[in-house]
This record gives sequence, structure tokens and C-alpha cells, in this order.
Amino acid sequence: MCNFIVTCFVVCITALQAQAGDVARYLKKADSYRLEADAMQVETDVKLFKSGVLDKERLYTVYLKNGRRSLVLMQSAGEKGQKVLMIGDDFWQIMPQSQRPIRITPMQKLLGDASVGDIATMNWSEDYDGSVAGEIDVDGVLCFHLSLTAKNKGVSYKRIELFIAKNDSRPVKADLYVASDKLAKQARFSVASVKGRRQVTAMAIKDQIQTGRETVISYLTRKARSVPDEYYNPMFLTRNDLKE
Amino acid sequence: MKAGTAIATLCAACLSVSQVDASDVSVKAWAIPEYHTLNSASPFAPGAAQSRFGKNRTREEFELRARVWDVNLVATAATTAMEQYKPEYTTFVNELNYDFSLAGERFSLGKKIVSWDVGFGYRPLDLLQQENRRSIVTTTLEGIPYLAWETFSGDSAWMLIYANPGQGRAGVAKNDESVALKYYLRDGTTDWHAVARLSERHHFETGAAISTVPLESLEVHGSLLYQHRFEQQYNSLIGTAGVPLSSGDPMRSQTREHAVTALAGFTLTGEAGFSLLGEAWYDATAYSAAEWRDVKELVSRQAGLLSQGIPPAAVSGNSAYSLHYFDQPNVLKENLLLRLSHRHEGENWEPAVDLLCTPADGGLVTTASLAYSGNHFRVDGGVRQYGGAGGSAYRLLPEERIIYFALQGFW
Repeated sequence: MCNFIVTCFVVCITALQAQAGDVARYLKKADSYRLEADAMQVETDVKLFKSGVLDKERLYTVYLKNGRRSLVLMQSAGEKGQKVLMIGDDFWQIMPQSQRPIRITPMQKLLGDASVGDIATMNWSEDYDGSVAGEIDVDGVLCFHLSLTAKNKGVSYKRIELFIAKNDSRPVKADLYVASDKLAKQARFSVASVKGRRQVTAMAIKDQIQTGRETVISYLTRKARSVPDEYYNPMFLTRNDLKE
Repeated sequence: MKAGTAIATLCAACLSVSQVDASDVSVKAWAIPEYHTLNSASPFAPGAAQSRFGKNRTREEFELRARVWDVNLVATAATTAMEQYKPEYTTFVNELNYDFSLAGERFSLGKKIVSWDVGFGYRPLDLLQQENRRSIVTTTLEGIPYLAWETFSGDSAWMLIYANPGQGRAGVAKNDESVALKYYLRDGTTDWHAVARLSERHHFETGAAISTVPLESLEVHGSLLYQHRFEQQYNSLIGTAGVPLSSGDPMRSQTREHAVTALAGFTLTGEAGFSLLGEAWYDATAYSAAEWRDVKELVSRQAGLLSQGIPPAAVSGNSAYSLHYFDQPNVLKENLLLRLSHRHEGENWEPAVDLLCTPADGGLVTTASLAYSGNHFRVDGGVRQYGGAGGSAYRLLPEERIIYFALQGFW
């Protein structure tokens, strides 16, 4: 009897580990549709719609590097000179009027025209783990349903219900939950072939709290580019060395 | 339109440079009408006629932001039209700097905004970039001429800066020649800053600041500054016997030693988009409530002379000199600030209300504002009311209310 219980326990643990390994593998693969290298420069166009009418359009240049580092440069006329730096769970912002890098809280990064977290975070595998909750048809695509919880405290969403295509792990849909476990947004991903590689070309995010609002994030260009570590130092935000 | 013409010329010049494309150039245009209500009950009111207090005005600004051959340029052309004054036209360079590397070290030279503190209502460590923190509309600051060496690691930085070269002791403190050193360290969720500065006016200044995020919704900050020497203006007629009038400027500058300025504050942001800022600070270089009582007594005595046949021009002129007491960055030593604002992601409206209180004399400044951000424009509007206990410095201000609008377009 004792041997049976131990065997069952070992089988369960092994199954859980295998599933965790599967989830990590699925997330890595899903990430590759947005991030094709460890360090990248991504030009992003963000359109904000209200009741289907374009309200605002903003352009951002995003630099990403391993170690959960992102640097966002605002490029639109009204925001030119603004920068947001994210290192793990820590965030800084600099405004052109005063040129001082100030720490902001994870909550503050959600404010503004569009969530910086949505623009600068393109990587689930470093921030989330979870389990395979099952298989489900989403818009005619057979998907794995991954139930993910944040493993880092600075992320915008504490829980994500992610649906990835069973055949190639491309992201199809994501339900994004904030700290209070309220469904905040629902994202759908457009995937197309760019330069011979299947990539997420756009992410349409419907606000579930302020209904009628939709943000469409389009990835205009992506290229592998690694800028030196010092560019991710908050004090470096005051410098203009970065050639875009 | 002179300012507009100047900035249009600058734009054209930038765009004509072969290495600049349109995405490297952006322009902001501002129109800021302000309606000021005179506080005729203030004993300073006779002097207000010879000052900017209580006068309606409109300011228009054109700001050009460009990058030309790796040189960063921000320039402003402005016109100000104020009641009873001729319109003023000004053009100035906010920033014109070149950041470069040499032998593995980072250098920067030109003119640049150099802000160092972590506070909002007041910034003790802004030793170089000394600006009015209580302006009703935030426009781009004007930088300082400088030469700097910087070095960075992943989580620390040093900056050695030579500011306002060749200026010596200038007419205003912001333009003083000085050498300053800054150190920054990131330690997990905490930022540490340390500064030191040498200048003729202040001799030696040193300070430190901290900013930390203990919770996802909470940021806590503080700064501390020691100044070996500082200057304070005072009216030499205070405490004198006889008719309290002077035929010349009675304001004198005195040098004092050992000033400590400290600030502590927090920002709390909730999931619903509400942000609360709270700050308390002590500025040893500002006036005390007792010093305000002294100057109030003086200007009240001067105002009383109007009924004794003294020419009004003599009274108002002397009263106007004492208005320099309001020129300090902080009107009183002890200050408390609370600001509540709301901004949800993607939301165009941003309402805010802030209260600045001076507990030593019961003064209160209330500002309520509302901003709307569009795709290519932003509109700000608000009202600032000065008040509080009778006899408090803010109640003595010869202005009781400002209503303002700021219309901003950007391309």
C-alpha cells in the first residue's frame, strides 16, 4: 500500500514537472512570434479607438534586452523626449520639460495614453508560469489554453489566460487580469509572414473595464540590436547618445 | 507674431540641414491666458500697481525640438502681453547640447536642463537647475551652460559638471559658476543620490536623496541638503523708528551660514487611476512666520501713511520693494503639499486638485485643474486661490486668485 502511494506521488510529480516543462516550452515558442532575438529594436504604432473611432495615434521605439530590460522612447510630437525605462520590476520615467529620471510605481506605468507595459513587454516566458488548462477552439483555431500566473511582481497583469494554436504555438488570444483578479483586457493577435518569418504583426486589445475602447499595437519594424548595458541605467536617460 | 516668425525660421533652418528628416523635428505652440484678481485687502496692495501681481496676461510660446547632427536642440520663442505693460518678445535656447564618447568615457557639453532631485513640490537637490516649482503651467525649463564628464555602470553613475563657465558670481544664483559632483546608485527597489557643489555664493553644498518603491502602488522619497552659506533679502526699514519710507531701495541682502533643507513625500497610485501625492518640507533659507509678521507690520504702517498726506507714489513704491519677500522658492520654511489626480489608461481627461499649506501661519493655496489631451492638442484649465488664516503670508499676497487656460498644439 505504501509503495502504491509513493508510486502515485512520483507519477503525479513527474506529470506536473512535464506539464510545467511543456508550458515553458509553449511560452518560449509563443514569445518567438514577437521576439526573434535576445536584444531587439522594435518600432511600434499604437492606435487608440473609442467606440470604433480613432482617438489617438502614438509612435514608440522600444529597445529590449535580456534580464527583463526595456527602454521606450516616445516619438510622437506631443510626447517627443519622454522615455520610460523598465528593469525587471523597477520603472523610471523622464519628461522632456524637466529632464530628471524619476522612479514610478508599477501602477503608474499603467496610466497615460497607452499602457507602457503593453508596449514594452513582449515576453511571457520570463514573467509567467502556469499550467495547460485544456484544449479549446478559438475563432476556428484549435488552441492550448494556458492558465498563467505572474512570477514577478512588477508585471501589469497578475493572471493571463493565454490561448496558443496547438499546431504552431502562435498566440491567438489572451485574457488579461489585473491584481484584483478583474478581467481588464482581452487581446487578439494577428500573425503574418514578414521577411519569410511568421510574426505577430499586431495586437488588438479590448478594454473590458472601459468598454468601447480598443488599442491596436502594430509592430512596424523589428531588428536585432543590442545597445550597451549602460543605456539601461536610469541616469543615462538624460543623454541623447542613442541614434534611432 | 515676432516669436512665431523666429521659430518658423528656426524650423526651416533645421529642416534645410541635409541630415535632418521631419521626424527629428517637432514643434509645440502654447497660448496661456491668465486672469489675476487683485487682493485689495492686502497691505501690500498699494505696491502691486508697480508689480506683476493682479494683472491679466497672455503668454504665447513656440517650442522647437530638433536633433541636428547628433546635437540636441530645444528653443523657445515667446511673447507676453500684460495689462499696463508693453508686450515682451523673447527667444531663448532651452537646450543645445552634444553628448559624445571619448576614450571610453562619456562627455556632454553645451546647454542642458540638469535636474537632480526626487521631489515634486520642492526640489532641494536641484542645485544647478533652480526653477519655480509652483508655476501653474509646466513649460520646458531653460538649461544651464555646462561641460560634464559622466561614467555609468549597470546600476551606478558618476557625473562631474562644470556649470556656467566663466560666470563667477552672477546676478542670479542660477547663473553662478560652479563645480558639482553627483553619484547615483540603484539598489534593488531603491535609488540613492548624493551631490556636492562648490560655488562662490554658497561655498559648499552637499546633500542626498532617496526614492524607493516598497509596494506596487507606493513610492516614497526624501532629500536632505546642507548649505554652508545662503543669502536672504530683508527690508532695512523693519524695526526702524520714524516715518517708515525710504527714497531708495531698502531691500538688503544678508549672508547667513549653515542651512538645512529637508523634504519627505510619497506617491500612492491605485488601480482605479487615482494618484495621491503627499509632501512635507522644511526650507531653512525661507522666511519664518515671525519675519512675515515684521514685514506685514512695516507695509501696514506704510499703507497707513496714505491718510496722512504722504504722496501715494512714495507709499506704493516702498510697498513694492517688500514684494521681493514673495520671490523666494518657498514663502515659508514649513510646507505641506497634497495633490490628488485621476488618470486612467487611455483616458483623455485628467482632473487634479492640490493643497499647499504653511502650518506655521495657517496659509493655504488651493489649485484645481482639468486637462484634456487630444491627438494633436492639449487643453489645461484651472483656478488657484490664495487664502488661509488672516495674516498668513499667502493671505498677504496682493493677489487672491488666478484663473488660467493653456492651449497647446503639437506637430
